[in-house]
Amino acid sequence: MTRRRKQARKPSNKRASRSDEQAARRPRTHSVANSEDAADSRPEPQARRRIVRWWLFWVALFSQRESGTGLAVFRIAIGLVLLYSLLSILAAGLIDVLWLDIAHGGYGPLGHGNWLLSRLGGPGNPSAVYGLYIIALLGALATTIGFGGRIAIFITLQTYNALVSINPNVSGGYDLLLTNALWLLVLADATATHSVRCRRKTGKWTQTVEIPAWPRYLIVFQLLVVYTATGLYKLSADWTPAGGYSALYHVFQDPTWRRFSMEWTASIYPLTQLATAIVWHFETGAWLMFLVYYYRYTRDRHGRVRALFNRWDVRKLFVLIGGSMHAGILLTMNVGPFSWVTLAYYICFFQPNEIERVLKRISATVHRLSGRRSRLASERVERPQDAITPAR
Amino acid sequence: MSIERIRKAWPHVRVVLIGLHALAVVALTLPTPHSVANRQDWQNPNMQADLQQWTDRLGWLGYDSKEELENDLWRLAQSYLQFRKVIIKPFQIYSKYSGTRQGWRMFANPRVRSAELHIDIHVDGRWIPVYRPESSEYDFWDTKFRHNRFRKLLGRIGNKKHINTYRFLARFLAGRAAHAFPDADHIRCRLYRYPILPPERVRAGDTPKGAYELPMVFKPEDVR
Repeated sequence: MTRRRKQARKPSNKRASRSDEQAARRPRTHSVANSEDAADSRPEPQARRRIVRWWLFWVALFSQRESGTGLAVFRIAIGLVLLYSLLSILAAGLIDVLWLDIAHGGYGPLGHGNWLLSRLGGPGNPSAVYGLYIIALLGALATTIGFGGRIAIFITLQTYNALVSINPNVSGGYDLLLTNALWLLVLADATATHSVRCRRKTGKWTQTVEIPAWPRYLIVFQLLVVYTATGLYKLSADWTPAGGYSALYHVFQDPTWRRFSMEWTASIYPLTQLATAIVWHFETGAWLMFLVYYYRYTRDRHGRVRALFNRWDVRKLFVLIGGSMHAGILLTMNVGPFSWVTLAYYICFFQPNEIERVLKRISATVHRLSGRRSRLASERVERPQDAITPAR
Repeated sequence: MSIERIRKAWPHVRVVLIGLHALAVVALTLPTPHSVANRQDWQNPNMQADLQQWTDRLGWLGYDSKEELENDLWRLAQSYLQFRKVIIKPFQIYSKYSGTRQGWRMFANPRVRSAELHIDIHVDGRWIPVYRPESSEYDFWDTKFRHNRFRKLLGRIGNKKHINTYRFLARFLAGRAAHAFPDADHIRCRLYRYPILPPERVRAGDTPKGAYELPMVFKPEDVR
């Protein structure tokens, strides 16, 4: 900290000595020198300098580059969630029921669909709906394996968006998370590594490559907006101390989303109150993570609040609480792949080198286990000849 | 403009574009009109229960009645809608083609009165249940009803503003039941609405007593 303060002092000293040298070289009248000094101390140039510094901060932040691994893992996760979303409605036999107009097997009239579907004839045209479905499914596969680059991801986005826009009564928050993720993947270079594209270009599935970091920042931004907004939307008093933190208890008593009967939660009501409080405060406080990231990025500057925020890795606490919340949702409720897509967004909370470390650890563990299994298998192959006495 | 100048300007242009995207995301997150614009929506039991709760808590602000609070909030909602209309316009085209729609109203108002779809068939002079939620015995179309997209639909029809959706769905399901149960001479769909009991009453062994609403009865020949 002391070294940083000294370093911070140095530039102003340098500026003073530099301007003295310039003043010594140039012949100046007394009035010009005075007017220049006066100009430096005017509030307007200082404010302008501040604005320029602030602007250059953002230019520098969004010019950062990083390893492509983080976004590649995020892309794969989003692709897998997309596949699940599309295959589950097919497996349940609900495409006709929910996405076709009443004249073609649907349960009711469905309007025209979004701009793309309406150009193709709307939900009244089964070929259009099934065509979009097949393209979306292939696009989800292409996104997962990293084939076709941004174009494939863009096509996946448009076709999936068209499908989930058909019937707002059956689309959910996870659909919006998926379409937002796909758009950011279009803007990013998300197939640079861990992809078929990489394999075709380099002969290997992975490569060490740097890509722009700003799409990952926008993914984090999106998730924090989701949490903050959903927290602020929770206007019912039940989410707050005013309503006794009773919201989750009420949600569990409603059969719409729960996986199984949950009257037993009446016996653990205080726990549901605690869970409600954690969820609501976690969501409404999510915007504080912007500060966490800002202080992490500017950790070289001094400041007590900055030092406090950087003392611990607050991201891990955030991920622990959020991860537990989504695990709880997965266990008790059927809200589709909502928790899975949200957890996919969590990948982007971490730097690519942190993700690479985790992947290496997983890979090492898998190798160790498969090495152990093949050793055991080879031992079993040898033993039977000794152990079994052939019948005579 | 030379390539070099474009190259130098690009990082600055990028900041502007990213800033606009971030602004779009925040602006599009603002509550949508349908959630505040319809005064009739405010009459649903969940909303009224919330208003009563807030009136009880905000008495120190001078609110003597739920209607007073509701009127003030309604006026505030109308001002908000004017403001939103102006803010949102430039970003709607962007969101239309980029898939960056926002809508994060999730479990905002947990129900205090729940509504379930019940389906019965009429055979040999009596009504027999064929679908009850979470029943292993009355599980007609249960695997489809359990899919998360259908769950959302079933949750929606419990809201009175989706009564047309309920009517279409009831007719559709009656048609499916007519195929599944050819012996039925009538198929009936109803909504069973009941209050969610507070935990102390559930612990005491009480069960909620509800009532049926919106019964719709169909003849198989009309819906097959």
